[in-house]
Amino acid sequence: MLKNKTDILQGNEISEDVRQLAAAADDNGGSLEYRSLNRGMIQIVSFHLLPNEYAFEVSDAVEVLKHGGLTSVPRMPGFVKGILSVRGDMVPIFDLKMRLGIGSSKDNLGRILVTFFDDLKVGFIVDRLSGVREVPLSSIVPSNGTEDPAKSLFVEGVVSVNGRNVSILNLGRLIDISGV
Amino acid sequence: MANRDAKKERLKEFLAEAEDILNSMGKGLLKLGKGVKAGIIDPAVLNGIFRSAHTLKGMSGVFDFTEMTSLSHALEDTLDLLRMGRIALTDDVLDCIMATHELLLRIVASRGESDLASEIETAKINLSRSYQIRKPKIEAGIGREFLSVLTEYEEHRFRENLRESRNIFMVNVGFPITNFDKSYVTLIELLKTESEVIATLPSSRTNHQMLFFDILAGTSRDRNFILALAGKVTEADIRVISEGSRPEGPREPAALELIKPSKDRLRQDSPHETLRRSSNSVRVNIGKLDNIMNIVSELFILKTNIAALSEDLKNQSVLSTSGIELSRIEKLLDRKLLELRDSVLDVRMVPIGQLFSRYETFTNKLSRETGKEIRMVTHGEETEIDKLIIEELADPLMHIIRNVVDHGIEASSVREALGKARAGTITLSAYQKGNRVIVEVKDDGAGIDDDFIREKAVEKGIVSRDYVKRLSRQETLELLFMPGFSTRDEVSEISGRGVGMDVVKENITRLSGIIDIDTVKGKGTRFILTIPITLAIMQALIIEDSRERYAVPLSAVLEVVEIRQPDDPAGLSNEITVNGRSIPSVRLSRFFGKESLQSAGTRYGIVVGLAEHRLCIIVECLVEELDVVVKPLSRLLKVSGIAGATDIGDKGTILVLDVTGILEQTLKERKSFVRV
Repeated sequence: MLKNKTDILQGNEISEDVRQLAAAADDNGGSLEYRSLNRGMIQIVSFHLLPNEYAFEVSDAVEVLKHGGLTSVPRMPGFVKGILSVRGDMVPIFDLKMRLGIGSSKDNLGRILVTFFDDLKVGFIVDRLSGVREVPLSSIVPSNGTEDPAKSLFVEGVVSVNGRNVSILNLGRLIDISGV
Repeated sequence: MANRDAKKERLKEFLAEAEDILNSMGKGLLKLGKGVKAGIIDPAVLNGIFRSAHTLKGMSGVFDFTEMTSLSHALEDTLDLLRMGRIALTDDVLDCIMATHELLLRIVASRGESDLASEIETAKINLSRSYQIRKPKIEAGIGREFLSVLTEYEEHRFRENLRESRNIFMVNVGFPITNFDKSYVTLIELLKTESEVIATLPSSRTNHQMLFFDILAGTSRDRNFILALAGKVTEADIRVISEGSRPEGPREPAALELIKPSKDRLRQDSPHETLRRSSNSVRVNIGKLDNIMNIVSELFILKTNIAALSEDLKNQSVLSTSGIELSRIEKLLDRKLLELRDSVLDVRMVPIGQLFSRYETFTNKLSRETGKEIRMVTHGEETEIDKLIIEELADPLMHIIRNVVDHGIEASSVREALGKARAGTITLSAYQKGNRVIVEVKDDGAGIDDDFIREKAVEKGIVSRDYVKRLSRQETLELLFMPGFSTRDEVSEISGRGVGMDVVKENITRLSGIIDIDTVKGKGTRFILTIPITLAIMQALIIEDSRERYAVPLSAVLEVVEIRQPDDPAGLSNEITVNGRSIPSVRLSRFFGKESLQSAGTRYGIVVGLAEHRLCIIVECLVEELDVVVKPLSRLLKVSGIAGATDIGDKGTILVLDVTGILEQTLKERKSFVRV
């Protein structure tokens, strides 16, 4: 986690979002341990795919970059927009809207939220970051199969923040593209 | 968290070091094994192995690797008994020690994460059951009192010398206190050239000015010779402890014979303990070198910008002195940068002998398991290749050797009947060819029968009977690399279920390497791997097609041709004539499933080859030649035809083509097209 935070702070193109994100993470330790030790809380980094709001766990996120400068890769599913060289790492960039099946993002607009899963970095194009918050684990309503099945595959659960519904995404499933 | 990272880092270091120790132990064991066969055991080798086990025990203790600690402890105990001569070095003991060594390697390989507890227990029990401890005998004529001042090891060496019927002398020497240490070392070094120094005992004659020592030495030389030898350093007196009965005559067969102590024994047996390491090398994580390489390539890009600036200045104005100066400095910078790049590359290079030596133990093991006699010969061990590539080669080569032992080499009796040498020979060789290294695994076994392969491939349902009839000999051999191909029905313990060769091919291709087979039925088989020396940096041709730029590794390009008048602007034809020879061709954009621009005019053909196949890849534009650092694409994105990506400065990131992949894929698609 500490490593992630350093990454965030060293980002080449630090945006306001990241400063906010990093500051929030600094305020309360920003670690998984924190989550498990402290009153069953979980930290999420939430963002907009207009008109809805989604989130990853803070521990999934590495850094936020401006959208642009992608190199496209042939023979790839449509939601793979290309790769981006992030300090020497070739990071695949997914159009999160297309991945979720809710439309598509415009070129060179919005932000790229870089995530880390196992030893893989993947960037997701989002409209804009909304911030880091802490929510009680108990307040997360697990997604049930009754909604749109394609959507619920990627949604871990829904939590209400200031009256808005935020869907917490399952990163592992999002980046598993072996069947696509 | 930072703490945990640091601990992880240390653990990584420990594992790397443990691996080194085990490797050197492996080399020692190999020597020991050869020695046992020849009836000669070098105590220095035995000591070396013992020390390795001891170090490993200590280190693993620090890292709470309890399994490794207990296993290396058991090993150390056994080795200690051996070096004390308390147990005999039988084949059984040696086998158990080797098995233990292998198990330790596996513990390291699994980072201590796999559950090997029961195997470790078995290994420990086997070790302890493999020997019986001899009772030390007291020789007649040698006083107990005399022996009591010797350590157990010294006593053992003393007995061995007695048994060898060597002369044993007590050399009494004295040195002035002021410079005794230097003179003492000189004397011991001198004595060791002609004798074994068993022990050094302080003498009771020591006074304030002089230090006296009694040096116990075993030798085949006589008293006067040793006296003269010691006399070169200082005044000496010699007392005879035991005279060998037959100093020059034939020796009685001895279980242990001392090899003339080598120079490095001097240091090893030095009584002064030291924590300094004798090696001057630094262990560096290859990631750090990659990082330096990245910086170097960025410097190159900056240099190119400077060069462009200086060129501008030249063209713009009348020659200004600063303009001339700039261009001079730019050239100097270029030269220095090249030097820097070459030295960084050089650091990554290791001799391939490091890799070859691992297979000696491995073939010995295979030989024991199959009962086939195998001899391994290596050539070109000094050939240097990138450390990362060495590691990537390790498994593929192992699979190949397994297959060779299992399927290639015949049983000794069969070989004799065929008039071949009883022992099969596997030759591992390496040599450099341009910026590639050729690694060959050659055997003198049965060779591969292509009719047999065809039959098997059809039987296994890998290809259809019709299809197989059209295959050339080389194409037939390539069936060996198909997933699920196994030339043997029963599952062998060694080659397994025929998994391996397809993985071998995949691994070699990932290294931008090529694997070829050459086989003669009844004579043997050659597996020829062609591997780039380094993946860290390569010369690339930057090309453009459908508005995208790509880098093509020059090492893979046979030829670039200009196609002036495309008869077929859409690139629909699958053939092109190059130098009077018609070869298959493909437009890059078509290969990638993109629409190609219909612009008329000159195009370029990049001719690539694999074995006897050729393919001409047609592109729109050649841009420039650059040195690039190739990064792998994320493993999420597996695209045939793409080897990775590279940053080319402010021009962004471009994809690096895997031209061999394009060739294979294209030919495969066309073949199956014809087939339908």
